[in-house]
Amino acid sequence: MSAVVEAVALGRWYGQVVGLNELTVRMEPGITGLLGPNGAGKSTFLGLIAGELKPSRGTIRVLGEDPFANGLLFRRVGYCPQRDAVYGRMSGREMVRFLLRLGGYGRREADARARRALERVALGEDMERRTAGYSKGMRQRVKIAQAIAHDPELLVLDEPLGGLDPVGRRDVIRLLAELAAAGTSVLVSSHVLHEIEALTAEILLVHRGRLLAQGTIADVRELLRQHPRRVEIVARDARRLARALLDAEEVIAVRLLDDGTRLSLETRDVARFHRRLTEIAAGGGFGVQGLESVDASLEAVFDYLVA
Amino acid sequence: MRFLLAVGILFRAHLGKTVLSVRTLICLGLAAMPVAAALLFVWAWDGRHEPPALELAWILHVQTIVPLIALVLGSAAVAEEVEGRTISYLITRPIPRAAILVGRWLALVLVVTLLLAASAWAVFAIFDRIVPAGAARQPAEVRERLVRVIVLGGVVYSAVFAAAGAFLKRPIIVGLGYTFAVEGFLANLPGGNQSLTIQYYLKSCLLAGDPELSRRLMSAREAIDLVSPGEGLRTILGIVLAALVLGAVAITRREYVLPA
Amino acid sequence: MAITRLEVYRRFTGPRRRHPLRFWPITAANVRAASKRKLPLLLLYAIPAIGTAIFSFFVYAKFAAEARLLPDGAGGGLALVDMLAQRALQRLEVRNNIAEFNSYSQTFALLPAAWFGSALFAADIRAGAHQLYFCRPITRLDYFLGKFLTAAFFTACAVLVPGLVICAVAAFNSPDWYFLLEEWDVIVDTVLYSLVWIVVTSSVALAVSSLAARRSFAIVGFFAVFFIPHAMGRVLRSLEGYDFFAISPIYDLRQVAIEIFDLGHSWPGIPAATAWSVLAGTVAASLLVVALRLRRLEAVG
Repeated sequence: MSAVVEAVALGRWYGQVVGLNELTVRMEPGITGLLGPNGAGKSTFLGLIAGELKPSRGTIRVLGEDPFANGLLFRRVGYCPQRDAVYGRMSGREMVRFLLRLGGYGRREADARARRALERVALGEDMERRTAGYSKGMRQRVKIAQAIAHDPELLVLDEPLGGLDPVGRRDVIRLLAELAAAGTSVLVSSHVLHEIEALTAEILLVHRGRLLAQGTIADVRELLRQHPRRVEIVARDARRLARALLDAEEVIAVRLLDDGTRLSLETRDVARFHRRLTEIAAGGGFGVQGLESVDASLEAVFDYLVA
Repeated sequence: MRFLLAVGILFRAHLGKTVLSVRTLICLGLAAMPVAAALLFVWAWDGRHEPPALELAWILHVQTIVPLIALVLGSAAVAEEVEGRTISYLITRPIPRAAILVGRWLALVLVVTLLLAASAWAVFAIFDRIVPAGAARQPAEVRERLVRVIVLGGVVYSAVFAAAGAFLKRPIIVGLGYTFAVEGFLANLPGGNQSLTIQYYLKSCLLAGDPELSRRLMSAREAIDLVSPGEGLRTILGIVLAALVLGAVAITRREYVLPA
Repeated sequence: MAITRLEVYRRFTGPRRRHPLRFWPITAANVRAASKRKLPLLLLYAIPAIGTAIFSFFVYAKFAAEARLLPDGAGGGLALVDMLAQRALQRLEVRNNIAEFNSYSQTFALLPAAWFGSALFAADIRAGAHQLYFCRPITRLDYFLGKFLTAAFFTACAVLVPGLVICAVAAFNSPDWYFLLEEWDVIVDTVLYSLVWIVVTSSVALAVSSLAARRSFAIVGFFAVFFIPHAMGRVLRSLEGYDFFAISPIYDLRQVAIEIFDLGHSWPGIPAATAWSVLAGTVAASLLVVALRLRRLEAVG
């Protein structure tokens, strides 16, 4: 399967400020989440993919081509920038139609596609209003609409969920999932970790211009062996259970929480610990009521890698 | 063909936007200045002096208003998209980037020429009300030549400033410096330095071959050898073409790093 | 119990403690911020600096040459009178030259006033930062003074400082401190004329800055206020009896220079009262525009 995006030793700086440094990554078709704190280089990376920026060093290929000022490639890529900028004097429909006309579509087809795209992002009722009068969420939807209107093969979205209410976010996530199911590759950056998690398991994590991690969330977590896995247990007799668990060699540390009914413990081998816990709990009458692996989430992975 | 289609789409999309913009409002105010000056003259006129219609057109229009209007509107060709941060949408479309500059410039230059022509004809119309026909009125041919030069000035300055907008972050400031400092400075240097200014060729289009008009509009200090009107026109058109080509090269190669 | 706070910035309405220099932090911060970029400072002050250096040397050379003409002993009769007359003429020339330098070189002061002054309100309006000011315990007057003094500072660096430097050179190089003792009015005139320039250009710069959404537009407006009437005055001067040169603030400032320094020129020939009135009107109109705009900006928007 050919990669949709391939970067080799990619670097980009702005004067003295490093935007990206030595980024080597290969993105396969599907949905990929691009994560990182503010200033990590996410927008720089997306700008390079979208052909807005040129690399200072290294190479980047999008759908097998150099993206900068590549007119033919732009028919196949849809880009939604982070910047909150729209053509204020145009209505939503006019703006999307105008950009479609620049994409080579005839008037009728551009109009039909614009309407369809705006309906998909739930702007059907407001498409004739000037974008200057739109709320932030509506402007965000227009930006997404102009990116999807020409049915691109690759969709590049920089913080598309920003400014959207919870319902809007849910709708956009659903839309992206539909597009991915229909064969569009999607690269989306966001700070909203649990929503990226809901959207995809494939992540790219960047920090300070460098790639920190790539892969599924579980695989990346598995690699972080220097961070013991944390597990929380709810039990009726948590104190006694804690004493029993301290004897288990899989357990590194145990802490009694809150009202004494919860335990937080650390282990390097979750699988072996679970087997051990089953043995201990079965014979002890501890009243184990709940068990949760608290740091298997994306947020935990993010914290471990970035902190 | 793709280039022309893109130019046409951008021209149509931005013509309406340009007409209704704040910049055009400012330019309307600027274009009204010569009209206000003409009205002031008419109000204060004692009947003894010949109305300075030609001087108004030359000093106020060609040397001051034309560069200012061309600067305010012409520099917006690319700069407005950059300032509005909407250039991302255009440079990620499958169109030649040069079409962005040319299409927008055509919309702007149409507005510039209409404003300037209307302002010039309004000044002549105001003076015609106080000067009986056949008396001290300027010949129609001279008026037409003046209006042509005014409009030509709008075209060439707007092309130069549009190209500057493609190159520079602050084209208005550089344009002001060029118009009032560089051209003003070169205009006062002896020798052939004046031929480095756009004003020189506009002067040539207007005054070369018309000694009477030259005496009237140029002081002894300013009197210089001009080129023929044909050569002046060719040079001006050459400047327009060169500016647009350079601007097209700049916008094609340049990256636009926009703030978040 | 959940609460929401819907207002981010609210105009300050509490009691303000008396603080006479509340505008000062605004001025200091704006001057510091504007001074961070060195290239504009270099480009804008290069010409006044070069002019000042050349003229200072000229003044020094004049006095140095004059000093060598001083007689060793008392001459007699007409020779001494001749010598004194020569010396008096030379001194008058230095005085006039300082006055001419002040009146002509200050045209270059338009550039710093335009560059620094045009951004003062326009940048705040564009960024919405004016709300940050008005939710603090400062008045509109404090805000205005803070900005005005910023514009005045940068204009003064191109206007007042060169004049005072040349006066200082003259003072230190004049024999027996005569420049300080006998021609001290030139120093006063230099300060007075510079203040007129500073007030006029800073007021106009702030007025256009308060109207413009962008610095670029404000700069165009600033130049339009000065150069369009200038061109109009040139065109309309053919009307006898009407001093249409007076509509140009640049010509008015030139006329004011002639009056202040007592230069005795006939051009541009605007009556002094007219010139002063036009300048006063320009300042008044500018301040009115600023006052009206600040009143609107103070509302939470």
